[in-house]
Amino acid sequence: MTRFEQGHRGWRPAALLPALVLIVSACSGTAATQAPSEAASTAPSAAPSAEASAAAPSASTAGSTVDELIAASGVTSDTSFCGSKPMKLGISDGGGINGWSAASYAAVRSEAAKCSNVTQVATAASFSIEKQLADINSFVAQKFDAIVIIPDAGDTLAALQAAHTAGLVVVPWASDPGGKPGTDYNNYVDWDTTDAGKTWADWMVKALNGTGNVVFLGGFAGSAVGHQELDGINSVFGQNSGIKLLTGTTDFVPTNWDQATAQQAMTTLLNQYPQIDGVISNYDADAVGIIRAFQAANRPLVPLTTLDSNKLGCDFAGLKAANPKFEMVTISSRNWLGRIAARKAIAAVQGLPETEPDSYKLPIFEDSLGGLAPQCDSAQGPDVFLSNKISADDLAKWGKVTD
Amino acid sequence: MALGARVRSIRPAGPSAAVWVATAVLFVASLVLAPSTASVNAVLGILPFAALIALAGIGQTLVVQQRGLDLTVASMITIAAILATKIPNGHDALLPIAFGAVAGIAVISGLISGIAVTRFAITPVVATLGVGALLTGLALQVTGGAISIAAAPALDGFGFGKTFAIPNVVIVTMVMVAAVAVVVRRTVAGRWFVAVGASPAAAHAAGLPVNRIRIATYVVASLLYGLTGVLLAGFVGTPGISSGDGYLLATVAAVVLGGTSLAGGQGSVVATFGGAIFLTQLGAVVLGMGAPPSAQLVLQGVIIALGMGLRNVPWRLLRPAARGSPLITP
Repeated sequence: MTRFEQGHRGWRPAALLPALVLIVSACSGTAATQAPSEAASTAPSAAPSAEASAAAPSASTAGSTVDELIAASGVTSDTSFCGSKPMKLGISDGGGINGWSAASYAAVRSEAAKCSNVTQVATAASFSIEKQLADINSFVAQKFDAIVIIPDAGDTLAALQAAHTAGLVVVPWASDPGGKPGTDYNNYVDWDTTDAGKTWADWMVKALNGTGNVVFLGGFAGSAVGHQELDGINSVFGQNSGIKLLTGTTDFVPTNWDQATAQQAMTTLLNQYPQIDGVISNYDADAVGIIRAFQAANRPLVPLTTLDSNKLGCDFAGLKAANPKFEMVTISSRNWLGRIAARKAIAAVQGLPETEPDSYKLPIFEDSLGGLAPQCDSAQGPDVFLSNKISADDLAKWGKVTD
Repeated sequence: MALGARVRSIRPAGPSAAVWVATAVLFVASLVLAPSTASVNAVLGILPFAALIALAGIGQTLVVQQRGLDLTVASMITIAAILATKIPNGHDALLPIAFGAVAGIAVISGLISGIAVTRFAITPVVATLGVGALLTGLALQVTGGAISIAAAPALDGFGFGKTFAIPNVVIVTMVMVAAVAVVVRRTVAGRWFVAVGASPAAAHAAGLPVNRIRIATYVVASLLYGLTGVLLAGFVGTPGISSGDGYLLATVAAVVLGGTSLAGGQGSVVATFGGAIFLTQLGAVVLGMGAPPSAQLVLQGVIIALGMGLRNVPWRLLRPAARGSPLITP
């Protein structure tokens, strides 16, 4: 008998331990997978929140208000932020491997491309923290002037601080790196997540006429984004006693921003609660899974909130015909904020004033109840986000890493 | 001695029976803790998710029986799901080409893993890690790093559909589990397969084509992951670049829960199916109990650890042969 066989037959507590570790991590395995860059913030927002109505018109969008800027999804013809000094801009995405990242690259890169004096290099980390840290360090080593980064592959704060200390302009966006703007990096550009929760909850109260049972599926387990949105939801539902948040006011049902996981979670919720009148989802792919869970359970669709995507917009009419109670509201998937991040980074290197706000309260993009019909471009793919107002050609040209 | 004999006598079906006992206990507990999760509709709703884990888990079981561990599961499922949607691009007529491409890549992937493990004696974990990275790279290449595509109507209809109220995904998995179980247990090839897993040296001495059997195992496993990916594409409709990510740990957990020995040889694909059902139902129950997400993960981990521990600990402690030093080498 070999040592291995003998050992296997005997009681081996030491051998059981790795197996237990494996099993426990299998349970949390889905939680350990990376969230899409869309909402993978890991720390509470440190950025000041700008009231859309109160913010001053910015230098780079002279003459336009923040409302107009949002309405145009950040698209401007302005090039005053470009300056004339030749510079190198590094663009890093912690993910870079899905439609959301493509839209994000396209926003940053097409904005930077307006400036003939800017040389740009874009990298993808494929959710590997080692790769993203290497990308940042490589920009520093090659004496780049600025970095625009979605720091969602993991904890990048130390590398961002080091780059900032080395004299680079550093502008993280779309995922909170922690730390302090102005000290650890220049600016952190993002949407206001608490406000998004409020917007969805307000709409849900309206859609349900103030009475009904609602569930909230909030993405990555324990994520700051989901909790900030829940704060916003609570603040609205707290004023509306007829609405019951079945999933509780202290936590949300995790989906890990994965369609299949969302589908599974919604299946369980449907089994658990015979009466669900509304669903708040904070990610469009989750919403697709949620809809399929309703269909698999033969339950009629109910009012749903989420982010915009071409698939949902294109599917809406057919779903509505089969489910009279189905309504949908979306907020922009907000990749266009990358334009603002790019403008801020370039202007800072050029020594030009850039006074656009860092944080944005995003309005409703589509509302099947209120005259903002769900949008569909059947010529484009399911995970294209029409709220970014970028052409299919520009998306194809800029929505990727540099060759 | 008498106690040891009695303990052995009440577990005649071997380690793979334990998972069904655990699953039965779990369902009884479900009735008490979260009754909504134990209804027929609830179970039918959850079964497709378990079936997809089980289908890939068959492949993992076979590889584990050959003393390996296959890390290509996640990337093979992802590339299969992506090819199954990208090649047809919404056209049913192109589905056969897509299936052919998936099968082709699965065979190549399995051959590379198998040959690396057998001919070049590379550790299975290292070999399949490398092949998995290649597949991930291929998936990124195919998608251009972006933009997922909706499954063609026929694939969507089948993957999401039901036959006599039973989800098609579940039916396919049950057929595959039964087929593999019969081949392994009732055919000559199956006996060779078990013999090679139990002791490659002895099998070689007996004149069995050890390397060919081990290579074939990786190929069959790869094909099963490919099938899982194709069905997953139909089931979720718009698979993304991370579709397969959850399947590596889930399949290994299902295999281990099913009692298949990581040391090779004995194993049961039927028990792996049981392990997948246990894992999935457990997730539903803790969610259904309304526990906060943080507590859910801890609770799941503890229950699975207990399930495994109860299966392993008492029997072996009580078995007289295990007394003394278990690590003595003859």
